[in-house]
Amino acid sequence: MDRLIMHVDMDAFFASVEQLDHEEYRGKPLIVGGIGGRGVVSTCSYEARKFGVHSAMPTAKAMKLCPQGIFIRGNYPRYSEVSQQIFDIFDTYSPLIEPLSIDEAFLDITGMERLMDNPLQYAMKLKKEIKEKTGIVASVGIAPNKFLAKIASDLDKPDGLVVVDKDKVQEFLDPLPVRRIWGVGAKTAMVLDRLRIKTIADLRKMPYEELHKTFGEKTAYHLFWLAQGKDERPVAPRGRAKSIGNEVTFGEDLQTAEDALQVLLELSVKVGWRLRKAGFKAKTIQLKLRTRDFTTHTRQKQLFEPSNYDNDIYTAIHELFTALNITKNIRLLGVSTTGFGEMESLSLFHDEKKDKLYQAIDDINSKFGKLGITRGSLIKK
Amino acid sequence: MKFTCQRNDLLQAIQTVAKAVSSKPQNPILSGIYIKAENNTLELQATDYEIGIICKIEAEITEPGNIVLTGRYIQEVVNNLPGVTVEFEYDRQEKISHIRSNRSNFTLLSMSADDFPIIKKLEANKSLKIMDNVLQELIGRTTFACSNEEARPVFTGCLLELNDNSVVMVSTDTKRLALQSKVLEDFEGQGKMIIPSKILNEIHKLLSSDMPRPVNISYNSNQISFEFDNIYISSRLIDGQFPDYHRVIPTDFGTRIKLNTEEFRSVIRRTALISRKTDYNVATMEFANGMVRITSDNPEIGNSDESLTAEIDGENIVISFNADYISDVLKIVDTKEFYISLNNSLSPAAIRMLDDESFTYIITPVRTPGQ
Repeated sequence: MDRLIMHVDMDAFFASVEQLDHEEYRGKPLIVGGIGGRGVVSTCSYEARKFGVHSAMPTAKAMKLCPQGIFIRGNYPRYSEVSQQIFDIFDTYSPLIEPLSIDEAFLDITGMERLMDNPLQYAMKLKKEIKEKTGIVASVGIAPNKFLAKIASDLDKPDGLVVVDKDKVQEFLDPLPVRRIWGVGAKTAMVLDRLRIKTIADLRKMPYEELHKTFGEKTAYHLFWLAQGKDERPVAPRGRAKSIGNEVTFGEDLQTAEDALQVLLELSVKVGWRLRKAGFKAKTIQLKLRTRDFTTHTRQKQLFEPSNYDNDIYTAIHELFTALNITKNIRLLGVSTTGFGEMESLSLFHDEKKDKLYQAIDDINSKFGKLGITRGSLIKK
Repeated sequence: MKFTCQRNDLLQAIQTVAKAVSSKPQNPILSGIYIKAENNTLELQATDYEIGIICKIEAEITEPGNIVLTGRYIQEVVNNLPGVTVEFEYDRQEKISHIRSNRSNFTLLSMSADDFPIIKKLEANKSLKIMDNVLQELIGRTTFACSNEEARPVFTGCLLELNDNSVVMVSTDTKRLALQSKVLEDFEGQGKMIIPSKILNEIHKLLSSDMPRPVNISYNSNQISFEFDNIYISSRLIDGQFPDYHRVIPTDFGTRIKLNTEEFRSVIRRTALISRKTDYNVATMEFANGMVRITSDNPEIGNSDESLTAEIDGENIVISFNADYISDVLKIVDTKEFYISLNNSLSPAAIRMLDDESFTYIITPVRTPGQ
């Protein structure tokens, strides 16, 4: 079935909220972010963008580029409040909403033709309502899938509204630079550049075998389909996270099992902590290992019963790593956990003492951070 | 080696020892059944090193000897022989066995008995005698709650706990626990062992005669043997620490519900039509106002909703269970009525029979979204 997905993204969200709340900021370059020595810009107004300031830039650099700018620390509770109002509006436009962050979301409007004159008009109505109720300007992209909708919303910012017709997907995509494809970061772009692939049209002409050879199966598959504007990912409503994991890429490839296991232990501890913070227990533990030649191996294992204990995670990871039996030229290692069922068959022999132990460790680590409690083997000599 | 015997006797003996023939033998000889003819007795043996079974029957022996035959073929052949008696003869020169019955004639390739690991009777320092109907009940009411997951061996067996004249058998897969206690006459002392559920199930099948008879049990720290009628079975014990089961049996309950067994059994059977396709096979039970309402909801199929009267003593409660865990225990509840005892929707429940304190079943609920 043809789908219709809408991506809605607020324009310079934090800065816009500030400008709404403070008359004196309006029409001026406003930079919201960390003010301290190592602070970074989280959002800046369009007035500031003219000076070359953008988000994630060190604040110190922004100050050099735009000395006349107004620099403020964010008022995050206020942003959440406005965000909530906007999401309440979304709720009346689609039953299927996937929030991506505080100020953007996918709305699945497939099959809602009867509720709207046409998608363009529906999007205009949404933009108008957001503007009227909150004062915030939103950019909207509508397309047959999430990938295209997100590109579309970004194309005509600020106050953008772009509809990608299902018959004009290729026309729309072809001239765009490959960097527009999600997952194409600096590294992949560099490799593509070396292959003289600059636009999505260039990428589309590349045979799949070639991509496979260069990037390995997963990335090749990803690039191949997205270049053709195909993306089957469903709009997944807000809910519990689907997976929690951490991975690390090494400056220098690891060459021994000992080194790898040390990293895996660190990752397991980190993931366990995140699971406990989120109040989840995972049933499935996954190991990810990438070697120098970019081959990525993933192996997974079901736990006997869902757990969020570091030890259980590490035991499973250790087993998977040993079975995989790759100990040389390790470029990346990752530990991730999934299977946080909404339901759980409770255990008779639940170890409350262990729960309390982890609770205590987590409490101490919350207070003392890296000075808290860790495993002897994780202390760097 | 040459003998004649009753076909049915031989078949029963073969089928008995065949339980110990490994389906994936480490060594070809272990796919065989050892047969020894001596003093008008045939002795059959099979072992996979974990379990060993010996069965003896009467036979008319013209020439004593011993031989090993592939378990699968001898079982199939004897099972299909036409006559009442079987004549067996081993041809030493040709190294084949002749099996005759009426006008049917089979020759089977044979293996040398010298290679077979003869089962040694257990040298045990401890022993007890238990009536087969008592053992039947201990096994029949507990093994169903064992785990099949080899990753945690202690849960694949039943704990047998002896304490002077009390004997308790306990099993659990960590989601539910079954406990059966019995009185043991003429026994003094303490003992504790974990017996593989596989061997207990085999014994349960073999103990199916109506005549009460004693079973002799011997054990040491890593092995156990059972001896009854013409059968001797030995098995390794499971090594490990069985969790403290006393800790998980609640002593008090806020709500106790009396239900009609047959009615409830059929409701659960119908509920399972919907629930068994869901992840946790969830049946939700709402106990209130003298009624229990049992529902199951499967977004991909539909739902079920059924009510029946219940005698509720205590607070109203809503709780969800894996329907299999309920139907499993209902298979062994043999009283007209039974009790479910509950505390809250996230704590373990107990199921007990009316006027039978010897059996206890503990079951954990399923935590459903929003709890």
